[in-house]
Amino acid sequence: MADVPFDPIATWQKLVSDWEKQINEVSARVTGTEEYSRVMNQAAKMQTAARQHFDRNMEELLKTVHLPSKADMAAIHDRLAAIEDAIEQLRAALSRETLRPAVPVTRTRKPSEPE
Amino acid sequence: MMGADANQDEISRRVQTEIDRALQRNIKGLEFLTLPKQPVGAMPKDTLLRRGTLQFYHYRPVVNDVYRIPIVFVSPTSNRGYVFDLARGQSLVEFLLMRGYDVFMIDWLAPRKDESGLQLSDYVLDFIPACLAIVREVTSEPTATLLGYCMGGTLSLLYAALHPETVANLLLFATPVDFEKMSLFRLWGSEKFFDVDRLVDGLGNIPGEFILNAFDILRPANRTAGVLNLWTNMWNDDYVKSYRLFDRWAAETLPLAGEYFRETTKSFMWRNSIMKGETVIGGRRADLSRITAPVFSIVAQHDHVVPLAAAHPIMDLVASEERREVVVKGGHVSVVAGPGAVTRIWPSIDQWLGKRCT
Repeated sequence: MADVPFDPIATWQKLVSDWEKQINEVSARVTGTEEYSRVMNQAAKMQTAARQHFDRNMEELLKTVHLPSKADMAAIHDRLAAIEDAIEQLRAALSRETLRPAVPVTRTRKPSEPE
Repeated sequence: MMGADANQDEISRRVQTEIDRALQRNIKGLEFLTLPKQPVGAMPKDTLLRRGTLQFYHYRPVVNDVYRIPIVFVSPTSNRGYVFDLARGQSLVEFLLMRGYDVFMIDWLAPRKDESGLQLSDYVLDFIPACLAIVREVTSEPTATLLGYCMGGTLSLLYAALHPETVANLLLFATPVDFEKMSLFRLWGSEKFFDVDRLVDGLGNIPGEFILNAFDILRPANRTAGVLNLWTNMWNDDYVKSYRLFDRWAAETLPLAGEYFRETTKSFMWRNSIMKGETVIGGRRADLSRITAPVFSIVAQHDHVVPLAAAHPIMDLVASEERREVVVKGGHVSVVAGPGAVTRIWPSIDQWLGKRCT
């Protein structure tokens, strides 16, 4: 049997690959339980509630100091996006009108090789 | 003696190579940290429709004579469609254009706050039909091939069940239908623990980070291992470019419209309605047994997002005489992009689709 020279990079890559596989397997065992699901959903619920609470307080604070809140900015963004949509629809309608003559293709192609 | 000399030469050559690569890693590693976003989207296209979360493109044909039946990509609702068109040589769109197909794409943007009320019926009975009406207008062809990936595939199947006469072929990548087999998602989203109403009522749209975190928890070591492998391959420009393309795509996971999320959770996850033929969209039952168009389903052996078993029943649910399933090595993304897709999957798609698009 021929000697295979030591390859540190290949060894390192195998180490990483084995580590990845092991961690994923352990994780799947932990996360694949009802207990994990219950705790995760409880944490998500609390996080959502905390986020809503924080958002409400921040909105009040910004209102007091006469600054726009994230919700105000989002509303402006949505209105701008709606205007952009309307412009885009006009542009797209014009583009479709002009597209057909601009793309002079025939639609008769056949496959070159049989399946 | 000759053998010992050759061995020493080989060792010295390898040491030299590793020193060069170590230097390159440091130089390119610093560059990597300061680079802007990797540009994506290789092929020129025209936007034919943009309406809130919906964007619809027509890619410019690159040959004069195309196949009669156009192809319409339906992107997954949680991700951008540019995964099909990452860069030259890594673009399924480019491949199909070069092979003479006329390619359109339904792509999604992050839904706006005022779109949190979008439902499954908006996607299946409004967005897809609106895009196909434009395809008919542009091509004068009454039917099209739908190519769907992940939930884009599920939407394509549901649309085809309700409008079978407008679908010439269905090409599906990692498309879930049996949600009971998506064991971890099903457990985490179980009715017992997951208060979807509270989440949607509280947040409106479901943030992209929420979706991305769920994907990450499925395989928590993948991201770290990916970074370690990136460092090892930092000397290789092609590897780094490819990493950056996929990393950008994954990071741009989209938020989901709240009502759509609520409906898919309750109908698909909790009731497994597609398997039971009980999915009701806009008051109509979407029964996949009404689909008679040829179906080609590509699934990945090691897909941790949509396991093989979640996609496999497509073959039994549709009534198509021509149906084919191919199981390929790799994971959820490698079915649509990456070296295996380029060399093996894409040519098999062309071979299957060509004669069905004339």
